[in-house]
Amino acid sequence: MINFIYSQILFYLAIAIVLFIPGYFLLLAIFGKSKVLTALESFVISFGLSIIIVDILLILLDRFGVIFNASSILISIFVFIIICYTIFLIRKKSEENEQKNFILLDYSKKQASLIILIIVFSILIRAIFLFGTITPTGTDLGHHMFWTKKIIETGKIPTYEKTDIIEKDGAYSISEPAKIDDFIIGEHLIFASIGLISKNNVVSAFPSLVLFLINIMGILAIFILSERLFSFLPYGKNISITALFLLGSLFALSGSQGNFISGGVIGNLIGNLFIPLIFYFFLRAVQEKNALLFFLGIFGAFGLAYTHHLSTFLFVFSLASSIFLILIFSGKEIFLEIKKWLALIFSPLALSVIFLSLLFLFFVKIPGYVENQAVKTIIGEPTRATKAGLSLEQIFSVAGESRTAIGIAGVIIFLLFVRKRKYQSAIILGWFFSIFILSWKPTLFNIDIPSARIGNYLIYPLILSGAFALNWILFECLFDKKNNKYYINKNLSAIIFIILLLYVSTSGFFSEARSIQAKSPNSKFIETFAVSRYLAEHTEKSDVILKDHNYVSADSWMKVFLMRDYNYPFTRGFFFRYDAKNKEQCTLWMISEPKSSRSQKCFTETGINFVVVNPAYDSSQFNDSEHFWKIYSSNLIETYYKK
Amino acid sequence: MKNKLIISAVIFSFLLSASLLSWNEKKQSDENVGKNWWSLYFVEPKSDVFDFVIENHSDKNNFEWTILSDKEKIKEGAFEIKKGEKGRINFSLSSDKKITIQVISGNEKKEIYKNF
Repeated sequence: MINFIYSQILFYLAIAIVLFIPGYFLLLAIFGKSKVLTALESFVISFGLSIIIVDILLILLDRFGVIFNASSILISIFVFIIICYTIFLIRKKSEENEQKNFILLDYSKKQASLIILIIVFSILIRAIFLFGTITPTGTDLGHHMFWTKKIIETGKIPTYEKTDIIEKDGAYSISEPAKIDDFIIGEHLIFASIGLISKNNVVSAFPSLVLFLINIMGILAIFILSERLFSFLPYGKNISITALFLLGSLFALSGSQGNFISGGVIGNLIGNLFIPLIFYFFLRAVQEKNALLFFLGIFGAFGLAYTHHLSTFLFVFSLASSIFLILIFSGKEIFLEIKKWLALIFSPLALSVIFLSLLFLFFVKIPGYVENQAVKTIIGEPTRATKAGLSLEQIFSVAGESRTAIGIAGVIIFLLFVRKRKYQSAIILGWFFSIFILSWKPTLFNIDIPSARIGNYLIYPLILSGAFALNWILFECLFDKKNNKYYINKNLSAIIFIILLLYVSTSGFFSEARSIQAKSPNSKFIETFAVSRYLAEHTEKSDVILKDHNYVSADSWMKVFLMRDYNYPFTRGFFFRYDAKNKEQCTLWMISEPKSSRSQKCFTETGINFVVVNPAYDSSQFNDSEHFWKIYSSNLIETYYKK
Repeated sequence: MKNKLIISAVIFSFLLSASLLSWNEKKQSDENVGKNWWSLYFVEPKSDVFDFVIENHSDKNNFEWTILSDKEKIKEGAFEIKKGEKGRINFSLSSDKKITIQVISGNEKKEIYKNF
């Protein structure tokens, strides 16, 4: 018990040091004690900025050959804090007599109580759903934690590469390590930092808890963006609270969002935090002509580029669409608008951060997907049907039917009635339409990315426009401004609003509950982890292991115990994958028909000598074979050794 | 002030949830708590050594083992292994046959073998 309490204290301290303190001090250096940001905005923004700062610090440490450990990370963060605090003290002296007026956002007692209620409920409902899935078994999380553990063990940034089974001229072999484009260093450094400082094992709740926190902060990022987006409306705060309720309390609006935390879709979750934050910075920068906020927008975009390639691509697309719409909505004032943007871009601070970003990019570290020219792989005709675009029905389903309906109502209202508010309209419309078109008709832009993955990004702009629509109906449609009263009875208006809200809420809530129920807790992973430990202790580097992905639970975590290669053990993957052209068949044959001659050839040529299967499905073909010894047996796992 | 109340609510809710989830994960990951399984394996999987281990995470404590050379019983025994513990049997033999270790506990039977 004492060990548990101690590990918990270390974990939360590590979270505070890695995920809040660096960002807080950067904000202190930039804004001092001025009231540019509310306390809540500072809290949320500190979190996002800390992720970027820690990533940069660790990349710099690696560049200068400094090994990552608790001490080097803590010292580098401490040095960063000292620099920021020094800047704060210097600026404090020179700005003592300056007074600036900022739009401060505050809440009534009722609003604050409602916000607190929604937030607490949102966090607790997520915790309840995570109760059954908190143990690390998710496939994606297993993949990511391999790299995190590699960073922890080696103290360096890893080379993202893997070996594979290849066929050449009818002969099979294990390839030399080849680069992988799917992982970006920013996804793993914060986990490694927390792991090194707190001494927590990656095979524990800590990765999922960090993702849980990122998800919560992503929701709050939408909340603070919403506050600024709709601050021009007298009911603007109600819109933000509605958005918080729709996004927060419903535990993300579709099954895929709900599984992102336990499943470990790190890049998506971080993208969902950064995208609203960057829009927040740019919106305020342009509205308030604030170069400091513009600097933070560029800094945020730079950080996103080192964290998740898909989110970066979609953000750039959304931002470009929004800027395009701003210019269109500017009409005759287009040149004034351009002048405003240029003044911000060419401000000393913005130029400095652009220059430093380019220096970092070219002389410190290029993101792997740029270095490996992975960008080329996303341009072109769709290679699979899943990349050819979603139908409208599928888009509705991904985002949630009711949320999509009310969200689209909000988009239409923006198009018809709110265009004069060009920044707000442009962000909502640009964000929504860019992602909608990319998920519906990617072929228009020659994009080769799974459409469902893009479709998931629709949720946030739909929430914002949906929250706006719900409140617009209540406060604009049903309210007679001239006579300052509702057209219909006020209580009836409230009931209509609540019915609409419940409609939007409950259908999503139950679909989410069903989705999570499908992943109720089970202990099957225990036996997979046990055999992984056994194999880690009883095999050598020269031994090659093959396991099955179809029936062995949590099999992607085996690599985290063995730590030999990202693709080790080799895997018999999902059966449908073997229909693809040029897919090697060895991993299929060696488990499905181990006694066949083609399978024996595969065993000989690849050197695979251990096979891990689920006996309920794959035992009979190994039994009574003189080629295999059964060396391990539990309820759900059998392991064979090929002598 | 209200901002700070909201921040406090976030922090408190997260700390409470995370602590409960961590505690739950600890229980779920425990090989014994609420679990009912056992495993049988060779100490040296690749050699001709037949020492084997029974690792018990089930509610049953009694295990009966039999060693077979092809189908002929050459040795047998029984022992008690408490939940969470392991039992090891050392056995050496020079053989060119299939040596099978069968273990029965209650109505569950497992076997491992090496085939020469």
